[in-house]
Amino acid sequence: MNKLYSYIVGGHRFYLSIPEKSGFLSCLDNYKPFQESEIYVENFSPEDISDSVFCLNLDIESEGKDLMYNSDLLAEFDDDTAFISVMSGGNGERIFLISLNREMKEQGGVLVIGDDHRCCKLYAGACNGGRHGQFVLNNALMLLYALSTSTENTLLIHASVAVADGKGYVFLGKSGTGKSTHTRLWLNNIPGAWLLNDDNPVVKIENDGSVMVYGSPWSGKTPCYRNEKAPLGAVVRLSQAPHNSIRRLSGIQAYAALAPSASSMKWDRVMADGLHKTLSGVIQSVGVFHLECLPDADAAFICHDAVK
Amino acid sequence: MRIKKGFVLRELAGEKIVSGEGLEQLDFNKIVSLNTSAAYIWEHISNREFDLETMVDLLLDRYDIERSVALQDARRLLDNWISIGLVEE
Repeated sequence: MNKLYSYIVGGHRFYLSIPEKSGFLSCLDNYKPFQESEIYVENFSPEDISDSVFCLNLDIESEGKDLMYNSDLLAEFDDDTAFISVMSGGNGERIFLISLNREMKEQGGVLVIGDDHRCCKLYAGACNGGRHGQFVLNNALMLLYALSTSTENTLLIHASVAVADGKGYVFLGKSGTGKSTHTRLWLNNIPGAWLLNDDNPVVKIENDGSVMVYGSPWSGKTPCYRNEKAPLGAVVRLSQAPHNSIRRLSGIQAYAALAPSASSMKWDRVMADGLHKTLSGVIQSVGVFHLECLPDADAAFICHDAVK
Repeated sequence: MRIKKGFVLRELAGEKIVSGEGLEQLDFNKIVSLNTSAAYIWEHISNREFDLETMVDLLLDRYDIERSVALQDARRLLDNWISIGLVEE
């Protein structure tokens, strides 16, 4: 028997199927606010999940190593957030080895994405549950989410988001720039401000053309998994400076400020085209700013004054 | 010479930009904006071998300018593309 969960994040439904008695069942607290249903199933057909952007099936028996040996290595990403090895399988499927860092790759999970995003598989025999298993599962789902929604006017971005005056303000920057710190300054100094997400919110252009920002099950080190949304008020790229100053960006500069923070596999042309369309749409309807700042209350005040 | 693999010409609010999107360009972290004539040249040489003369001829085909002016403009553009890393010899 498997447990089949359905979740809705950023208005998109996805499914997660986990074998019963798996160690992963206790790794899903961050998904609870987004959960639509959970059912026990022996089997399910593609029709049962056709209303979704993807379905991920967890295999906790196999480590998926045989698949990796028969694939071509395309690229490796090794930064302070994760180690991800990108491969192309014998039948053209996309294969990703995901682990916390290079040293942990023997305990990694192997994500396989075929043409149909509704039958993706994560081979997690080497990381069944526990903290690393949870890390692998979260990253596999984020990767799948970004890939599957890229053609749906949706961006999964690396950012911290504060809501104030009913609007979401997205703070971007390289890691270590102080995104979370700046959000904290808003929470402490701007009346009524609250944290929507601290690491990976979803930005989406809705059918009516409005741009919204959503909380998600992925929030980095801060456990903030709010199933809420707000109209996107502004996008602010931060950089550290010995002073506080803010200016509005336009055109290519605005695009260049936002683009590096969107999760993507740019080498996939379909995804890159979708991403470009969404990025262009967002910068045309929402203000994009560059804030040079100190980690002080004044930074929050001048930023709030400029973007509100 | 050729334009390196992995670069894509896109349109952004009426302007033309080039971004590094292929696996070959994962470390390319710039967005290059092209004016009308640069985009015109890019569109005509991005999938084939070319040299300075190719660029000069393209400019002369389209614009009513002296060859010396076209040569100067093409040289400047090519030097720029080479320095940014868009071109392989």
